[in-house]
Formats: sequence, structure tokens, C-alpha cells
Amino acid sequence: MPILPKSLTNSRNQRNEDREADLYRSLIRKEAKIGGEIFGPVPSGRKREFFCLDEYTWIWHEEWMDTNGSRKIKTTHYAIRPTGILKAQDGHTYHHVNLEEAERLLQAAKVYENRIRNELYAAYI
Amino acid sequence: MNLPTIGYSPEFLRNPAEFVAQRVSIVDASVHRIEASMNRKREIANLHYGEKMTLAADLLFDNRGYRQILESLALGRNAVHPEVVPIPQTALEHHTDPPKVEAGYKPGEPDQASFDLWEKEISGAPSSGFSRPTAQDLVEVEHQALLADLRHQAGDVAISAGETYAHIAQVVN
Repeated sequence: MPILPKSLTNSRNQRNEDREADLYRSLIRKEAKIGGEIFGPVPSGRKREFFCLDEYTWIWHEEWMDTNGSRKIKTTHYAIRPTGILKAQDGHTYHHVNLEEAERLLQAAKVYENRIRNELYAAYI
Repeated sequence: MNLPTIGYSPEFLRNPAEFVAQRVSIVDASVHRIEASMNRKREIANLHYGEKMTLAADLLFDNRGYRQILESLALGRNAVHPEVVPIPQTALEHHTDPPKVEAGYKPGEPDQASFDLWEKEISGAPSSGFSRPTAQDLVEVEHQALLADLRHQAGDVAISAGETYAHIAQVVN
């Protein structure tokens, strides 16, 4: 016979899952913040995030206030395809990036990988 | 509440070292994918006209007959007897159909849940209503890019998917 009632066990498991999901999100936020710093200092009042969402997707997200004080948001999705890199901004259609932009993305991705290894995950690697 | 995660199951987080290894491995794989993708793009840029047509056709149809015709064009042979390489009528009829995604073609498998979670939970931004493209959408973009490249390479010769196949039909007949 189980020592703990099933409902209590379920509740405990759920709490663990919630905590783990929170931890996961927190780590991704940290990665995104580190990623945002790759391109130089982030101006005051501006939020910049750059991160690897999954093996095939990189995201650049930027928020700022324009001169009229209204909030502006730009989100760029890069989709890594076998024959090139596709880019979409703010939900518009995807198009191929040129080699120059792809080179810059590659450099940024390499720096990103290096920085998260050294600054975020070094203790576990 | 069952929270979705971005590409991971919560089980990974029960073992942080395992999670970190998994996460770093995904980022590393992505970096290599970018490199491989760029290399392939450079290779495509240097392909001959006919080879690009082959590639465009491969994206549209998994049709060996067409591929052989296109390959023969790439090699400079101007005619392929229809009995040797029969052209299925259906392929011509369907030349305006959207590209077909071959079975098992899964790079960049769409994961709308990941985007939704990212928008709501990570970016903190209001949802842009952005939908992650399907694999078929992406193939369509690649196909259009190839056709645009072919148009450029062919100079004054206008090429569209339909015109490409009409041209092939002309050649073989």
C-alpha cells in the first residue's frame, strides 16, 4: 500500500514540474539577455534579446520607445533551411537572407554558443 | 497546470547537467546547421542552369522522369525520347500546384507551441499573431527563390513553374 495518498503525490509531482518549467524559462531568458549583448551595448530604455529557440530557429527581439513615446517591437525569426537561411520580421513572409547577413548570423551564433557555455553553463559542463 | 516547454520535456530539468548538455548540444547543432546551409547555398549559386532547374523540380515533384529530363538538359542534351522518360500527364496538369513536401521531410518541423510560449512567457511582448510557417511554406519560399535565381541566370527568358514544365514538354516532343 502506498505511503502517501495518490492526490498528494500528484500534487508534489505537479509542483516539481512547475518549478522545473520556471527554471527552464529563466535559463532561456538569461541566454536571450546574453545573446542581446553580443551586438554591443544595449541603449538605455531598449530591450534586446537574441537566442536559439531550437535547432532550426533563431530569434531576435527588440523593444524600444520611439520619439513620440510609443512602444515599438520588432521580432525577427531566422529559419535554418538546408539550402539557405530564411528570415521573417513581425509576421511578414519569409525570404532568403543574402550571404553577408547569413555570415553575420553565423558569427553571432558562434559567439552566443561560446558565451552561454562560459557564462551560464560552465559549472555543469 | 501542464506548462509546455520549448523543445524539451520537463524531465530534462530534473537533471541540470543533462539539461545543460542537451541545451548546448542543440545550440551547437544549430550553429553547424547554419554553416552547412551556407555552404549548400554557395554550391547552389555555382550550379549550372539545368542543375538549378533540377533542384527546383525536386522541390516541386518527387518525379524521377522529370528529374532525368532536367538532368539531361543540364548535360546539354536537348532531347529525351518520351518513351524513354515518360512524362506523366498529371505532372503537367499539376504544375501550378503548391510544392509537395516529401514524406519524411522534417527539417525545421513546425512547432507552433514553442512560438506561442516564447511570445507569452519569454519575450513578454503581446502576441504578434505570428504563425510559424509549415514545412511546406518554407519549401515554397525555397522554390520561389530558386526560380528567381533561374530567371536572373536565364536573362530575358521568363521562367515560372508552369513555363519550365511547358518548356520541357516542348523539348521532349
